[in-house]
Amino acid sequence: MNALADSHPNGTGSPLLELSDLRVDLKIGGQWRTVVQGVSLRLDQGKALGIAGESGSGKSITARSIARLLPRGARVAGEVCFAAERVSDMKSTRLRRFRARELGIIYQDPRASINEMHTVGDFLTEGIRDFPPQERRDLAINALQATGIADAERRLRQYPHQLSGGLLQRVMIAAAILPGPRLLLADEPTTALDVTTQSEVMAVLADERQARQLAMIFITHDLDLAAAVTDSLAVMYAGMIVETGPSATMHERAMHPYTIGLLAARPQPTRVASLYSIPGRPIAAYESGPGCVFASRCAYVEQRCLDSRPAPRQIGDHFVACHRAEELRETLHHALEHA
Amino acid sequence: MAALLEVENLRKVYRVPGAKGESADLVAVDQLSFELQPGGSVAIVGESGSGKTTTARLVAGLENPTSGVIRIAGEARNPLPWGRGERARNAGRVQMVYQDPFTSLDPSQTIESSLDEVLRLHLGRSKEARSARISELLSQCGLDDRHRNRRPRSLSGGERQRAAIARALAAAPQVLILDEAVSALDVSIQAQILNLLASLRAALGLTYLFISHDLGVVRQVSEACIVMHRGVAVESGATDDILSSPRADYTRELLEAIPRPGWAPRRRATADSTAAPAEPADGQLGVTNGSTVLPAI
Repeated sequence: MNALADSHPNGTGSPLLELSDLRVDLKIGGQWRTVVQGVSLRLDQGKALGIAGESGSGKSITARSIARLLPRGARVAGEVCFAAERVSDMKSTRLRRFRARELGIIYQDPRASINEMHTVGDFLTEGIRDFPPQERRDLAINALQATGIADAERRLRQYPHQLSGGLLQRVMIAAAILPGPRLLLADEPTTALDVTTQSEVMAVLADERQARQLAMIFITHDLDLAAAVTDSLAVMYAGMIVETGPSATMHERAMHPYTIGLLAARPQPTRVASLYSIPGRPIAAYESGPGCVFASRCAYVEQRCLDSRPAPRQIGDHFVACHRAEELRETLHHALEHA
Repeated sequence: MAALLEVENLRKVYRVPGAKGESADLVAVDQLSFELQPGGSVAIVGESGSGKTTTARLVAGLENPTSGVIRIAGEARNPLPWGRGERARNAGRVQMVYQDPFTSLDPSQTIESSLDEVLRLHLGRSKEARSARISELLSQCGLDDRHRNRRPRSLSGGERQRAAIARALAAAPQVLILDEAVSALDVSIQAQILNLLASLRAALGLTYLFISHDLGVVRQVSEACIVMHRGVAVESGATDDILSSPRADYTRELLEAIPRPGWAPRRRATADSTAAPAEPADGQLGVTNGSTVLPAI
């Protein structure tokens, strides 16, 4: 199932990234537990795909499985293809090169993913150590300047503790784009930042992506942010994608009760209301029964929702994994507007 | 009506190590004054380094202000250190709920003993009376007797925060300080806790000082709000007015940075304006000695 093929105008060509029926099992507390199930995604060259979900939804594991950066011993089924090459088939040399040159990865907490003992310059040029020194330096300075960092030469000699969180996250972006990758994996890149800094960092990312025709997988818990900075959006719950659709119209056209619940639960500075709150707590894939993964929290649950798991179906330009999507459409949107 | 909490000209200066073994003054909070009426709710909003958490800690009595007065129920607070009696008295006046209940609840204690500990101190009543009060507190916070013997580790994030709120309420405080109390929660859980805070306040007549970086959340909890930036209040008033027609440039900047449908991220004029406390010569955080490199607070 090419869930997102139709969200892209050029969705018919060969995709840059394709996930087919991905399933990941991890050993947790001595037992095998499914954390990602039946995930299929497609991302075209230069496009941005948001994956939004709460804790335990499997969004980060999905992203990590693209880079084969899962915990040791993880069991993976299904396929991850990058430019028509199966990532699972890559031998160690090829895999290292794939991670270093074709992927750029940006994590949530820059301080946790940078070695405090190395200068910014050392960190930036880590992936291109085989280049001549002068070229390494030029590339590093260019990358820093591209992310809007003034005085790049001085920054190269500084250590991470000398930079603020926002500045350090720019350095992480510079490091990610420096080797000229084709795909950025951004896992909650702005969650640790203030909103004004988040806005800046996202603007830098947007500019760089456009200049370099860079595709991006953007992992976040913030549906509003994801909708604003991506082309298409996948909403994950309990290890599954429950809905995909174009980001720009996600607020008006969302159909899955979980997506609507998330939109209604988010407090807005522009209006005050008693918030719609989804009862219960988010569950992990291994806690889901045979039916719909959202059944235990859904206000619209029926017997069939408990008995059989809905497959994602195409409705308009969305794919929705809900038995009742069509019949609930008006009720849900009424509820969202009056939340 | 007399204010329950009065903060007058509050100022907190930290000495921080600077370059070459010298030290510099870091003004974390300056010239801050506000009042909180009984049953009212005031929010302090700001980004990292704005001084909002320092303010919370000063009001909670965890630190002494450099200058300024904090009055609770008309009585000026004595400077630290406090004796046993003073500590117990303050605990019945001000309680604080933190961002991460995982670090604020004792991991080895059951929820029951964690609440009982507080009740013994403040009620000292019979075991039966305390036990009845525990049931009442749990149910007020959306938990029940099944949670009594659980430890924080075996609770979900939302349940842990409910338990932390129940523990704070056990001391029957006059003012409840909520320091980013919903910031670490999943969106669907955050809505549950925000609704809980609203219903608790309505049912029990609680008084909140709500500390947050999130303007969207603030409107749900507080009718009045103070926007802080670099240690000073840049704007204060009714939350509705501030959010619908902000007067301060900084408030406007904050509001514009919140993602919403149709929003696009924006670059600021100069890149290095992201430079936070760690940046020299930037004057952030009311740094008085601008030439000194300061650590992030």
